[in-house]
Formats: sequence, structure tokens, C-alpha cells
Amino acid sequence: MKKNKIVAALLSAAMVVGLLAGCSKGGSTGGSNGGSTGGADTGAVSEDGVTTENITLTYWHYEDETTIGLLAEAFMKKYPNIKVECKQIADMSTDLSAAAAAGEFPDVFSGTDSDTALANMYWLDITDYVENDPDMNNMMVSIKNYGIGKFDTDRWFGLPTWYQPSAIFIDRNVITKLNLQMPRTDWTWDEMIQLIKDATVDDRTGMKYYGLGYYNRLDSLYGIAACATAERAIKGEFGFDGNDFDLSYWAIGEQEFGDLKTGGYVAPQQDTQAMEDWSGDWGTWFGSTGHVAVFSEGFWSYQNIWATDGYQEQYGLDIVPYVTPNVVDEKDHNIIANMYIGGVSTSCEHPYEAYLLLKFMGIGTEGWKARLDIYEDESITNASGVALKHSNMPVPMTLDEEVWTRYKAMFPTDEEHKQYWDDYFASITRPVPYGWYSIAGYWNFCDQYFNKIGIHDLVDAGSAKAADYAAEATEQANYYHAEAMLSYFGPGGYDVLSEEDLNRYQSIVDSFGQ
Amino acid sequence: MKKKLLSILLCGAMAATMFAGCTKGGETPAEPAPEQTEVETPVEDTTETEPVATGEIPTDYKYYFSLDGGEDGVHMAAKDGAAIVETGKDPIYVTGVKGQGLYLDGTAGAKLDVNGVGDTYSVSYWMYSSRNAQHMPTLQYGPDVHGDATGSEHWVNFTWEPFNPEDTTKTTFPIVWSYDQAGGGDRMYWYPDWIDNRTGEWLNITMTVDPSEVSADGSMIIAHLYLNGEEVIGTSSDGDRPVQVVNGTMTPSDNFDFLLGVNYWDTPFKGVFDEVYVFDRVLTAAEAKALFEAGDTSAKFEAPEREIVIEKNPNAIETIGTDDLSMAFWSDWSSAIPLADGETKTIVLKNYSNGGATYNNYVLDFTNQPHEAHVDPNTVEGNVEYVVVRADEWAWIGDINPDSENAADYFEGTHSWGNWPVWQSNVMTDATVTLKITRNGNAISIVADNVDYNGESNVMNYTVKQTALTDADDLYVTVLGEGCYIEILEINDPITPDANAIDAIGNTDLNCGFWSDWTAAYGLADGETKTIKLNNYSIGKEIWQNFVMAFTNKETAAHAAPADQFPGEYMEYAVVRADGWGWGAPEGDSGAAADCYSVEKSYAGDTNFINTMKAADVEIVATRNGAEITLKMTYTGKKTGEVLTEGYVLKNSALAADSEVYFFFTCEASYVELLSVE
Repeated sequence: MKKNKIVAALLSAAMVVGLLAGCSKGGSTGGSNGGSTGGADTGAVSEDGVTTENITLTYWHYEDETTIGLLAEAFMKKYPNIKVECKQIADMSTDLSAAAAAGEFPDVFSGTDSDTALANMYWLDITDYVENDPDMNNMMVSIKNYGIGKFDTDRWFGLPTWYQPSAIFIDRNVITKLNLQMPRTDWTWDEMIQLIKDATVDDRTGMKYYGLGYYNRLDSLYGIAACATAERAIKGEFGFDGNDFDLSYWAIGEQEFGDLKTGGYVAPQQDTQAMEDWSGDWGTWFGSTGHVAVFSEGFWSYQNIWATDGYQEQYGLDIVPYVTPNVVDEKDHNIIANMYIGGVSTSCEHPYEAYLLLKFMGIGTEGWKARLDIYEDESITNASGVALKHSNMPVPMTLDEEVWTRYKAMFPTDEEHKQYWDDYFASITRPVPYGWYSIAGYWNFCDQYFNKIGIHDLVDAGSAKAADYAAEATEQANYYHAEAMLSYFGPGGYDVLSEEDLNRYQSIVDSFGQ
Repeated sequence: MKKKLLSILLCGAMAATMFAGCTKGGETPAEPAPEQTEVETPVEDTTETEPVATGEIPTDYKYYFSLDGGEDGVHMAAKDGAAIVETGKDPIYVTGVKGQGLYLDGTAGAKLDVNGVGDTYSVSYWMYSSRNAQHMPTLQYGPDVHGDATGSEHWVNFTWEPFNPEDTTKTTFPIVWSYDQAGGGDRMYWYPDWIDNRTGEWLNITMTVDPSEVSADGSMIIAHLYLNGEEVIGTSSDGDRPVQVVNGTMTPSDNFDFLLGVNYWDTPFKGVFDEVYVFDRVLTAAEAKALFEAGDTSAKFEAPEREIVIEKNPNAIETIGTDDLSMAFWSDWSSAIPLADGETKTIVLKNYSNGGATYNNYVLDFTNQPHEAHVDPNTVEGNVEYVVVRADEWAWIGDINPDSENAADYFEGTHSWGNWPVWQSNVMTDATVTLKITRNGNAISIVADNVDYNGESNVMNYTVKQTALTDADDLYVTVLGEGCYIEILEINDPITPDANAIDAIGNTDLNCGFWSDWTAAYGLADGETKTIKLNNYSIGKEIWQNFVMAFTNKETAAHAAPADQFPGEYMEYAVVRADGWGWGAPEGDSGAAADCYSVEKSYAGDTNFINTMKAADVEIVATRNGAEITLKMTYTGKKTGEVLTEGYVLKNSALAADSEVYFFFTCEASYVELLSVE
């Protein structure tokens, strides 16, 4: 990956905002080419430290355009002198490279692939803003504890902007039809696997009942749930603990999932011959059959599909959420999540205001209250005519009580279902992003090694054992991570690593393949 | 000898209606897909779709296919790898909108003898689709659909896509795609105003193209599409209305394709076509309406009983039963096949069933005595029957075991398929079965991969533990059956490594991952020719599961990742797969880029290649001339005797005449023995 620095200066150290009182801007910030500083240093500011000059900020994102447009309006209402221009990203790497070349780089952008931003030093060090922001103390604990946006350095380069946890769903109607019992909501991994097996029932007369329908492979979930924290404090995919990977954990989940597939416990995918053979219709989605008990789905499948008007009634479903279980019976465990990471561009001339925008559009409590105003009004629809809560609505990362009360009210609250949702929401406060969001070098590892060996296909077909690949894959993953850490955060990059870290990562790189 | 049989086809009668409209209400993309960019509000239609009077059915067509049967120029054709090949099978005709129509069963389509008629043209056809799949073709035509002649795709396709921004989670029909790769630009599409996949109904499609009617920027031709006699306006991918197509889609060509229900890439169509016309002029709206009104849309679609054609394989090792599928249980047997303790034996057979019951298929009988084919094992002296396993995941223990009534103690099985009636009536009536049978002590494990006429894999895993069977006992497996005819095609012992091999990569289980094992590198000096001989054993599921040859700048050692041996210095000039695909570096993946290499093959399609390469003698003659490396490959099937050849010319701008060049071999899902490099 080539570096494409858009600004030479990174004034992380100089960007001292130690004077910040509350959320106000109190110090200088880095500006374009490192020479000029943010608006506050050259122009008037309000008592909150926000510029009073008329400025324009650009915000690039991956979300629903209508939602973001309305959210931007809410921000502009709060800051009438700041105009926000939004753009939906089509392809992060391509769009940002083109913008950099054209000198039209966005002030704030949220992305799906952090390697692109870090390799090119697109993101500004926003440590001082984050650490002096009281709102950040009211976020889900793993965000600060794990430094999601710090990339295993001691500096903040981004913040989560959009969060959806992994989710397991169960069709209660299928459980009833098969005379099975609903599991406890704080179930364990083994209890889930057993339910999948028990709910695979074939009476040889027609459509078989499958225990599992999946979008997310179970090995992706298992890597986070693989062991007690005391054994290994896993904070990322592939057994990543902040220092290195251990794919032996992943291999167990991979094998277990592969065995379920070869064992006939997993429903066919949409648009396949197997689906046509099973359901009679090539285009059927297993989630609509009423013949699948457990779903490893994206969280969005609930609001985008199952919660839409009349859907569950039409197909005879009764879908409730379950927490992605842990292998050990540990109540407060991490869960894997989609978490877009956003940051302020190094080219931004108004970084403090940009930080406020980043917060408002993503993680911040105030922004979430504005989002809820938008989502609660179902008369507002997007270009496809869909009410916005049914268009990939994220989950709040703030723990603010008002936000959560209003958010939960958008999900079933009747007596039969409310407890499932309450238990589920209570269980998702320790999100850990998929690797490509938060682990330096993860994407390169997947692209250049992991995806090439075709391990999923081999294990799923029963022709290879995942454990046989674990040791080599671990070495490869650690190498790619160390190489990326040196490249992104070493002297040739942000230069924020300690001597000790530099030596450690260099040692991993040097010993690779020896 | 061919014998035609009928089996019950449940696909139409099955749950199709149950799931009508049962498309997923929303996608679950890898990451939630951003909402579709808002499409510019279309300009108000200026085209009024007022009722059009019906005209006469035009008779000045250039091509017409009634598809009533017995016509010339209708060839059943299927996708085979990157090619469309004629299957040689007879077309099947069912009730159409006018007489008969051509039925396609979802495995193949038809290629009609049609060439381009010029830039001004009209096409018209009827169709009834019982399948709704994204990209699935109905009619696709063009002067070089696959780009085989010119290197550039050029076509029109009427298909299904989720392109209507009103709901991008649902496919709709008809979508009109067109593409002129050489002309630049994207694949252009057009979508109707509705969101409806229009399956399960007769549709008449007529499109007229007049090259003088061009889009505002002059790059596209405005076409007129009629659905059931009425013009539909819709919107193009650029937001323009009505439908537009690229130029030259009916230009005559030696490589012209006119394909019904099949193309080079996508899921084949399932349903009926009828009344296909091609004109070299623009039809009027009244004529389009006449073509519609000539069809009877009340014609009832009935999927035909699938015709099973038993083509007796002259290379079958043994056959069991008779081709009228009347074999009674325990009436015919294969010879006994020995299975030593710790051994895995692979048996490939063809299973034709009458589909009357799940047990009307092959059966495996495990005993302790050898016997000849067609001999009842029970008549062999000293015979002990340990266990019998049926194809339908059913088994019983022989009388030797006193606990035979307690089946649960001995049997454990799973199956991948989800619908037994379909398995019985569709899958096993014409299945190629690969049995991997393993004996470990008293446990007998069977992995039965039943591949049906769609190429769909249906896997049974079954393990039986027979406490009466000891390590010291002989064990044989006999194939028999009921209501079926069985041909044993292969009995494969484990691969025996060649003691004379210089080196070997992969493993004899044929499950190694790509780029996971490597031979040592050998130099190839400028002006030098080297002849390399290999044994190639492949798992034989995909075309790329064979040896792979890489050309680099370093003399790397065997069995260690080449790049790791020379960090920062290692460079690949080219990597070439056995199947004629490769990529160059450092330009990056160049796919089939002509400036990197060219390929000549003595074969088309994948099937023959895959079968040959399962066990093949390979000879490669590599010659280097400056920056150019020429490869001539010869593959000889060890069992089939088939000889296939390929040729390459590798060119890489990073490869200078004085560059050091080395080659090594790696592989995927295969076992490769290097026999000589001379």
C-alpha cells in the first residue's frame, strides 16, 4: 500500500488541548501544511471555543444519505455558522485517493477499512480532543478500555462512528414446532451449538428443518468468544489481544462451523441450486422459510427485513434476538461488531469543529438524540421510500439513559418479546470491531495470505482441518500486523511508537520466516 | 445404447407456489450497503403509451423459430467453464403460447442459428420463467458475447437485477443490459418502473432498435421495448428514459451468439421459450401488439417429467442391474472390493434410479469374503455380513452381531440435502456418486457425494461401528441396489508415491491449500530450453486444482515460502496455472492480459480437462528467449488416455534479457511429483 500523505505536518503533540474545559476548544490545532492553525487561532470563537466565522466542513460517509443529510441539518441548526456538505463514499480507497489528488479532501470521513486511512496518514491525531471530552466517559466500556480508534498506540486517530453488534436470532415458532425449549438468553456457545443440532430435523417428507442459517460465519464470532478473559484477553479477531494474534482459537470455531456445514445442519444460501432443491425457489432467503431455528445474521436483518410491516406474519416467523454467546459462562463478555471508524483529516483547517462534527454524526450523545428524532418519525423516508429506522439503523455507543430508552422503544416492547430485547441490549455493551476496522495490517494479512489459502472452502468441504493452518496463520498475522504498525506509526509514519514498541515490532518482522 | 426413462419431477409441483414472492425482503451485505444514490428525478414522459391497435403479424422476418419441435437451428447448449458447448441432447418441448415451446430445465439453454441482421432490427420472443435469479439470461445476443473473437464483449441481455432504486433488495424483470467493451463505457442497463420478477407468467418481449434514434449525448441507441404488446418506458442507468442499448449489437459476425436461457457466466434459465423472431427492420407498435396477441397466455405451464437418458458407459468396470431399472433388491452384485484396516478406497459410480422410493438406489454390503461379480455373497462359503448401508442413510447390522436390533449403538449419519422427495426424484435418478469408504478398526465411514444432473453436490456422511469386526478380519464391500442401474466407473486405491520422483508437493489426500508447498527453483537461462516431467493428481473439483508454475528472480529452496526466503528482493515475473490462467508481476494481477501472455489450448470447456488432470502425466517444455518465455504443456490422462495441449508465451516488461529467471512449482488440492528437469 502506497503512502500518500496529504499534509506534511501532524501536529499531534502541538495540538495541545490541555486547556479544554468541558468540550470546548481551548488550544491550537494542526492545519494544512502545518503552518496555519485552526479557525480559532486566527478568528473569533464562541465561549465554547467554536469558531464564529462562517466555515464549511465536508463529511464523507457510508450511511443512508437521507439520514446523514438530516443529521447534518441538525448539526447546522446547532452551529448556524458551519455549513456541512455530505457525500456518500462509493469506494473508500478510490474516492479518497482521487480527492487527495484533486485537493478536495473531506474534512471528516468515516470508513470501513482503517488500513487505507492509516497507511496514507489521512487521519489527524485527535487525542487531546477525545481525552478532554466528558461525553467520551459515557461510552460503552470497550471503546475506551480497548482504545477503539487508537490502533494499539496511545494516541487517538479515529472514533467509532457506526456500530452494529453481531447477533444471533431465534425463530420461536420453529422452536415450538419442533417441541424444543427456548434457551436462556445468557446462553453459552455449547448451548447454541446443541440447539442448532437439536433443531435440525428431517422427517423425510419435504423441507427439512435446519438448525442454522448464517450470514456471519460462526468462526468470526468464535474468535471473540473463545475463552475466559483470564485465559487470554481477546480484543479482536483471530485471538488478537492487542499485542499479537493466536489463531488456534479461531481454528476451533472454524472447524466447528465447517463440521456443522458438512453435517447438514446449515441451511442453503439464497440463489443456489441447494436452495431451489430445498424450498422450491432459487431466490428464497432462509430467513423467510419458517424452517430455520437459529440465525447468525447481521443486526440489520432485524430492522431492515424482519421488522418491516407484515413480514413475519407473512412467513409465519417470530424472531427474537440472542446475544452472541461466550464459550465460558461469563456474563460480561465481548461481542464482535461492525464499527465504522471515522476521523478528522490531516488536511482539515478547522479540526476542532471537525471533531465536533465527527462526534455529532457518529458516537456522540447529542448526535444520537438528533438521530432518534429522525428515526422515530417514520413518515420520513429515504429515496427508496423506506422509513429510516429500516435502513441500516445503527446501535448507540453512548450509555446515555435517555438515548437508550428512546432507542429500545423502536423495538418490540410487548410482554412476550420485551425481555428478549432488554437482555440482548444489555449484553452488547462490550463491542469489539472486526479486524479490518481496528487492527493495523489486518486487511493486508487477509488479502495477501489468509484469503489466498482458501481455508474456509477446504474446511467446509471437509477436506482440511483448520488446526493444521493455525500456527502458520498466526505467524503470518503477527508479521503483517507488526509490519503495518512500523509503517503506520513508526518514524516513517505518525511516529508515535515508543522505542520498546519499535523494537518489539521490528523483532517480529525480522524473525518472520526464519 | 440409449434408453429413455421418465422420472417424477417435483420441481414444478413442489413448493414453488408456496414461496412465490418469497424473495428476501432485504439484503444482508458484508457491511450494510449504503443506500442507493438517489436517482435524478426522471424527466416527465413525453411518450404516451396510448392503446395501440393490433396490426398484422409481420412475416418478413429474417429468422423465426416456432419452437414447436423438429426445427433446424436449435441446439441445446450449456456453459462449460468459459465456453458454451452444445450438449448434443434433444430439445424438450412442452405446451407453449402457440403450439409447443422449448423447455429448459435449468441446466442448459439453447443456441439458435442466428447471425446479426444489421444495426436496424427487432427481436421478439415469448418466455415463461419458473426461476428468478440475478443475472439469469433469457435472450442474450451479440456479435461477440464473450469476447472470444475480438477480446471485447459485445451483447444485449434481457435479465433480472435489483436495479430499480425503489427497492434495490429485490430483482425485477425485464432489465435490459447491453455492453460494448471495445467501445468503452460501462455495462449499461435499463429498468422498468415496477419491482416484480414476473416469474410464473407468460411474457412476450419485443424490442426494436433504430440506430438513427440516439441518446442526447449520441453514445447510445434509444430502443423501444414492448412487454405483452405495450411499450414500457422505464429508466436507463444514466437516468434517461426510455431503454437504451449500445451500438452494433446485431452486427453480423462469425462469432455471433444468439442464446436462449444460457450465457457464459450466469445461472441458467428454467422455464419455456416460444415464438422467437428476428427482423431487420423496426416493427411498429401495432405489429408488436400483434405478436403478443398471437400467443395464448392462458397456456398452462407444466414442467415435463424429466427424461433420464441412460448412456451406457463402455468404460464401466462393472454394471449392476438392468437399464429398465427393474432390479429387485438382492438380485445382482458387484465383485467384492477389498478394504484393509486403515485404508480409504474411493469408488466412483453412476446411479440411475427409477425414483420410486428413497431406497431405490445403490446399496453397500460389507462382508468378509471375496467373490466375483453377479454372485450372491450369501452363497459364498464362510460369508459373514457385517453391515449393509443404503444410499438413503439407512443401514443395518448383519446377523453376526447380537445387538443388531439396537441400531442407535452403531450408526451415525448426516446428510446435506434438505428435501428427501427432491433427492429421491431429481437427484438420484441420474447421479454421479463418489464414495470414500474408510475402515478404521471396527468403524466403517462412508462419505457419499451424490452429484446430480445440475452438478449439485448432495453429501451423506455415515459411520457404522461393528463390534464383531476386528482388525484381523478381512473386509470387502459389494455394491448392489434396488430399482436402479449402476455402473462402477472407478475404484481408486490411495495414490502411491513414485519412488523415482525428485520431489513432491501437496499431499496424497489432495487437500493442500493454494501456495502452501513449493518445489525448489530451477534456473532458465536466456536461450535455454528445459523439459520438465510431472505426475499431477488432483481432487478434480475445480479447474485450478492442479500444479502451478511460477517464474521468479531467485533460486528458492523447496518447501518454504519463496518470498520469505529473500525478503524485499523476491519478485515474480509470472505465475501460470495448469488450466491456462495466470498473472504477471510486478504489474499485478493481469488476468488474461494479452501483453503478459497468450494461451493456446487444444480443448474447450472444463469437464475434459478436469477429468484428465485427476491423474495425468505432464510434460512441460520451457524455452526462454530474452524477455519472452514459451511454454508447451502436454497432459496425458493416466486413466483416460486423453492428450491435451496448451501453449503460452509469457511477456513481462520487468523481465530483461539478462535477468536471472528461475521457476518452481506449487499446487492446490493436488499432489504433484516432479520426475525430471532436463
